[in-house]
Amino acid sequence: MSANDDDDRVEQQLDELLDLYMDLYTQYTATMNDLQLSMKDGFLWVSKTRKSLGYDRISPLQYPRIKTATAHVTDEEDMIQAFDELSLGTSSSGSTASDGAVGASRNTAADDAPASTLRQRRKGGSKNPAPSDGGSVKSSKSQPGKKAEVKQRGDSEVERKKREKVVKERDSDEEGEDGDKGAKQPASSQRGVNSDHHDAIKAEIAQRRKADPLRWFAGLPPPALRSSQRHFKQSVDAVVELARIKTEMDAVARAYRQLQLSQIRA
Amino acid sequence: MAEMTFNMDDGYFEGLVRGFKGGLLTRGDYANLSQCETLEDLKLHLATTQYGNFLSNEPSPLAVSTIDAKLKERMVSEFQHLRKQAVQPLAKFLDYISYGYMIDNIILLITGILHERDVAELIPKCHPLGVFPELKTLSIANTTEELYNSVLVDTPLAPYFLECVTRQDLDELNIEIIRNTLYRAYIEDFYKFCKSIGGATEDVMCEILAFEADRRAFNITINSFGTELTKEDRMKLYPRVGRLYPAGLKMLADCSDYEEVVRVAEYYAEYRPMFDTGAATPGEKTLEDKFFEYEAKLNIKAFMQQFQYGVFYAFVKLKEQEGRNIVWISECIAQKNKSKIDNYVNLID
Repeated sequence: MSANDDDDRVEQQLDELLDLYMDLYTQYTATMNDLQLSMKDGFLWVSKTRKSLGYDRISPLQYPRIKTATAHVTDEEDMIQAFDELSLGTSSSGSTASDGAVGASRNTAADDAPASTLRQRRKGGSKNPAPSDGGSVKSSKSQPGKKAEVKQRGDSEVERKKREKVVKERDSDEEGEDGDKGAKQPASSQRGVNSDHHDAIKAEIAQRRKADPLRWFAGLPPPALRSSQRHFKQSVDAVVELARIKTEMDAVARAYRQLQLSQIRA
Repeated sequence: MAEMTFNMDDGYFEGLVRGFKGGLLTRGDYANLSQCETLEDLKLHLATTQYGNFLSNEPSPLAVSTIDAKLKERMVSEFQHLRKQAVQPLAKFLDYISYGYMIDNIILLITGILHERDVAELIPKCHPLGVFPELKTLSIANTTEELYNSVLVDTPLAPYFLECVTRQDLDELNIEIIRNTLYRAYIEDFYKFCKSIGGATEDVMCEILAFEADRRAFNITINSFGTELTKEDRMKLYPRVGRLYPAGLKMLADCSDYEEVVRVAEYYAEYRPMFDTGAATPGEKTLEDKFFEYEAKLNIKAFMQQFQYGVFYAFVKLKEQEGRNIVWISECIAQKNKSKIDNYVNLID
């Protein structure tokens, strides 16, 4: 009877894994749809911007050949490792920011600049992450071998385990949001903050604004351009989410196969 | 009296430009273009219009940037045909039309040089109407003062540049401020010139330029939200020849968000309907689209009067709008996103 109980338990686990896989697949297709929609809208807003500003105002001539990434994707484990390395005084493995800051940091110096989404699309390169067993999933923004890798945990566990990806940090520029409705102006004064702190905050905001890729195309960016940036940011989020879901699906599929094998051997 | 003497020097050119205007694409032409599935189809349909085989020598696959460049080339060749034969004061009027493009080219080059692009790479991207001999020497300037002293002092834009010389650092925001300052000086000067010509030219052109000034004021205000441009600096960029001057400009300068701009526009009957609804999706009409529609209406109206120079300006702007329409349709076809393909400004029924 105990053998039957074991079989039933294994069957139940297999069913649960299959359910989980189907749920993840549904999430995957929904996120893929979101990605397609946001990319489509992003490019259409770029076309609208070109319509109002002129075709050559939104072109490769407006951006520098070497660009600095304003956001990176890291895993929680990388952040913890980077923290440890910082406290021990050792250099990071290169998967995080070059100046040793923890996890995703803004406005750090890049190696060779990752090409923008538009340039990659034109060249026809596919930057979708290709997970491998125990290997690493690269974010779609980086070239192979570059930093900002998302490492994958070992998948020896059978039970359900979700790997947490660190929410991607990004610039807090409000002007990247919204289309026709105006964005907020920077606060010209902050009550209750001493002047040094206030100046430092202002300098930080000005620095972040300068690093905003929106400024490559227009010092006073029109609402259509801001909308396109917003949609492309959404699409980057969607890509990272897709990578996460895909690695989870692979993990569940591996667990399913292992459970099947163990059942056969038993 | 102008009606009696206009044709002596300028009648031929008015006839020419009215002929060019007759070749603008109609609603039916745009409907045909919207049905195209590929850019090759679009090329075939354009061959049946006044554009003819202007794309026949272009290699496949056709790119939207190529279509844009060839459309500009066609417009410029028609303009140059007029300019080369025109006498004063029409010649000066046509030169004024080209100054706007010169400003755009200067800014394009400065931006490209700032991003470490080679001048040889940038020059072909300049608008052909705004090319002048000193343009190639722009790379030697690192500050606005050098730009003025070394490059622009002998060009027609020199008087417009005097207000910009105080801007030392050429960063993105300052470049935008320089662009808008130059444009303000240009529009105000052009307005003054049209007033000096007087008659029907003054009536037609001053209305068009006033709208252009107001449009720029609205766009500068809305685009400056969320940037480091202060309200005082913003006020200095507004051209002072539109209907908004002076009270409307003062109110616009004090605006902090889009809703306040809408409240300012409500005081002006022609601008109120444009701000009624904003565009939430790229397929809906944005404020810029409504501005383009209104501008097209003014330019078509310019052809209702004879013996005045406004027809030349209106022709150039209508050709530009036609180019924008064709490029928009091409982009929708190239992106296989034809749901928004009808979002163009129809010029001729």
